[in-house]
Amino acid sequence: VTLDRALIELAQQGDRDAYARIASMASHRWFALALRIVRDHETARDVVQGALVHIWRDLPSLRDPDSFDAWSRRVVVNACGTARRRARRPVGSIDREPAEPSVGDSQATVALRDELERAFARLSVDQRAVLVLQYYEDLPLAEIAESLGVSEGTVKSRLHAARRAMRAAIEADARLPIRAEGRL
Amino acid sequence: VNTDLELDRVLAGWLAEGAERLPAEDLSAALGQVDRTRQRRSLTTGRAPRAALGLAARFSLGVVVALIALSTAWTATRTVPLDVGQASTYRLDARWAAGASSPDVAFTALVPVGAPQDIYWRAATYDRFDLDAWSQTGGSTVGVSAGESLLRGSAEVLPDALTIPIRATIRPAAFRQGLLLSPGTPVRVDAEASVRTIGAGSWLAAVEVPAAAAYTVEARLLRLDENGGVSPARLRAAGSDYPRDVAERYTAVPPGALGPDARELLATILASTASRDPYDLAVAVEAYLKESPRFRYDTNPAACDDASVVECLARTRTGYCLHYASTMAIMLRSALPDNPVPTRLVQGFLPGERSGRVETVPSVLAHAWVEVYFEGVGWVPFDPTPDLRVTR
Repeated sequence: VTLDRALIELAQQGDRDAYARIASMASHRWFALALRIVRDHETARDVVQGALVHIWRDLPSLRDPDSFDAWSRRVVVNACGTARRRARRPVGSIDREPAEPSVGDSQATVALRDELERAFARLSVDQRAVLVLQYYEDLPLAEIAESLGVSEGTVKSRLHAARRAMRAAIEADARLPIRAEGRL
Repeated sequence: VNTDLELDRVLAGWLAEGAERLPAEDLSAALGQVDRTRQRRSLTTGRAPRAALGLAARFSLGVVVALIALSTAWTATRTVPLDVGQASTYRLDARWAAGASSPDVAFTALVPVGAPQDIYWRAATYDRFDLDAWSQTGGSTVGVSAGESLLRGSAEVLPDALTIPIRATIRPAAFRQGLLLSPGTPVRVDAEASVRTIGAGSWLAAVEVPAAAAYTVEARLLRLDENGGVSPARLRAAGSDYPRDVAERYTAVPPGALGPDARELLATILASTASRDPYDLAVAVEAYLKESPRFRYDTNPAACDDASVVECLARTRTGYCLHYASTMAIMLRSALPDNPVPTRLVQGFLPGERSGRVETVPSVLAHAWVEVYFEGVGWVPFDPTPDLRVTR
């Protein structure tokens, strides 16, 4: 889903209704992003509410409306960082219905989820963000860099470190065939 | 087995889990705060004055929202069956089918590669508001052979520059009312058809085709884009000098349509915009009904003892597409008493789910929206119903 450039320009010029339209579309995406980074519903709600106001306030400073997606994502990721510091509470897991076992999902066992959740909680917000943008949002490297406001080289090294940490967590789960490969 | 790929797969699968959405009250609360928050403007980068509101932005966005919703939650919404009577004239009202939540497929459509994703499927238009329903008046029915023009002698305006041709093959499933479904305005169909018209200008009301057979329809879609399409500037320039039969047929407001709450709502909307240009008013009414947190989409609206669905929506602030579309149509007809804006109701379906060239449209997407008449352009669609599937 791409937001219309004309709509973003209107919101930049102070059109509140245009912004309401943008927000009604994008806020769910931002929520999905924030939730995957902070792993807690209430915190993610706070993050997005704050980001919604922040993005409105700073929209006029966005030079190129075409980079709205990356720019707004950056605001959300930054808000995840500050929200977490403010909260100073352990990061819980996303509460959800137990997933239906399915053919493609056979390895995502409860034990593995716990391992993943724990390992993810030990990562920095920057590292989590890079994983979420890479694996959940499925963004190209250049856009991840733009969304985080860092160079592509930095994205690569963060991604490398984050993947290594997550790999260790998966390997710790004895039931995984990946463990049998025995290669770090 | 490549363990890197394995890791990619596990991480992608794990991060994809869950389909949570921001609670609607959070969005409302944040927008409330937005209303109290001034934008930070740098003094060095002056901005152009407020640009014309992009119609493409307005319209296509609503559709995009509907589409997002489709992919996630349409099966959870209840159907709004639009009952079409088999009497001498069609009637659009709000009778509900029992067990309406079944996600029956209404029809499928084969569309060209690269066809717009946001096609509203039109079935019929209505000119007269009957407080709780819409009907077609003063028309006639003309038989048209397969492949002949459906618009011969019609006043429907289809300027080539403002429309794109599109062809679709419709296969009726649960929708068996014998009404031609068309993306935009139908021009030709490869079946024996009866064209029903409204008024002296032969405005298209509906095209009847055999109820169960597949057919291929050629149609023209309004280009709702800024690049030479139907731009706000063009619609503002259309003026309000309407043909007589349009002004006669499409501006009537029956007694009782507007009660005290509807009049207050109209005054509120009129106060929200200084412009009295028909296009600006249409945008204002549509935006108000669609965006105001005071209004809620509900297929079981709160009880209301008024005969008019317009008054009921204004009073209870709950309703579904028939309420919202009727309200927008009647508000526009009432906003400028000296020269009312002509409007009509359209019955049809929201865009379905596209897979390759095949679009599948379930019965739950039955919908009603509004068209506003602009001289030189024709009937331009507006959809004031809140994006129910997003906020529900």
